[in-house]
Amino acid sequence: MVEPTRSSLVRRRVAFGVALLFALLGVAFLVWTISQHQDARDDLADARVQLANQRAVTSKDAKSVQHARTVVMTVHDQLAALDPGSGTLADLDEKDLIAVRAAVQAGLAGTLADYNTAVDQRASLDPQHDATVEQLRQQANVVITVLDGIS
Amino acid sequence: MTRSHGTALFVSTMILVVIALGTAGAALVVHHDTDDLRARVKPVHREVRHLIAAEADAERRLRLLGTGARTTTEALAALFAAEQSQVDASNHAVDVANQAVDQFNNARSADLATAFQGAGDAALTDLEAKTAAVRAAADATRSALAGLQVAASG
Repeated sequence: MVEPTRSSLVRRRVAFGVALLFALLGVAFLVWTISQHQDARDDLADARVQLANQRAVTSKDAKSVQHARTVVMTVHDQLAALDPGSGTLADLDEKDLIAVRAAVQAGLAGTLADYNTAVDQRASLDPQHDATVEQLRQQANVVITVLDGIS
Repeated sequence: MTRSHGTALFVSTMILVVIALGTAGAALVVHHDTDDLRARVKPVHREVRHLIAAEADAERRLRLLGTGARTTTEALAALFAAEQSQVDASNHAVDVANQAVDQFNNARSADLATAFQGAGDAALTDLEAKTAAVRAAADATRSALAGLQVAASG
């Protein structure tokens, strides 16, 4: 066997140094990638927890909306009837105003016949007026009672 | 330098080369797996965003329904209050007219009835205002009802 020359030993030392550098870089790269992998796993776990929580909250809100809509729909008929009923009541009050105005004018003028005619006209509105108010009141009571639950 | 020293350097170098190649290979595998994990996170985040949007929409609908219910309840209460005021004003105006007629019948004098002119005018003005208030309350009620029904059907 031949003893290694001085230049050969230098080359081996350089090669050792380069190999050591690459080995250290390799280890550092591995540590860094493991760290990144751990972060990614944590992100995935966090995202899954967030998804589960969000599903629970969204489901609860959707149920609340559905409940409120169902509550409103239970008084659908009353709501539909209140719409024209309130307009009818305002119309009857305007007819009442016309009759009362005629009665007051006749009363102030001292014309008894006109006064009686106006008063009779006003009285003729009473049954329809009372019935409309009563019907509206019943429907409104049902609606208000039910809507109190969601307002 | 001895021969054994040179051999030790050579063997150490080879071991370091193996370590470098091994760690690099392992790091590449881990890196690839990390990319897979990140790819799996994206659809989860997308679904979370979708659920957040759905939650916001549900909250908005619930708020609309609550507001609609409250507005409707208040409008109905206001309508009946306005109606009661109108009935009272109407009865008062008729009372004034009745008193004027009674005075006229008893005294047969237009002057006595004329004494009620101010009260009659005031009663009519009040009745007109109360009747207009009923109309406004009825319109507000109809508007509130329409809003509630839209919120319930949306």
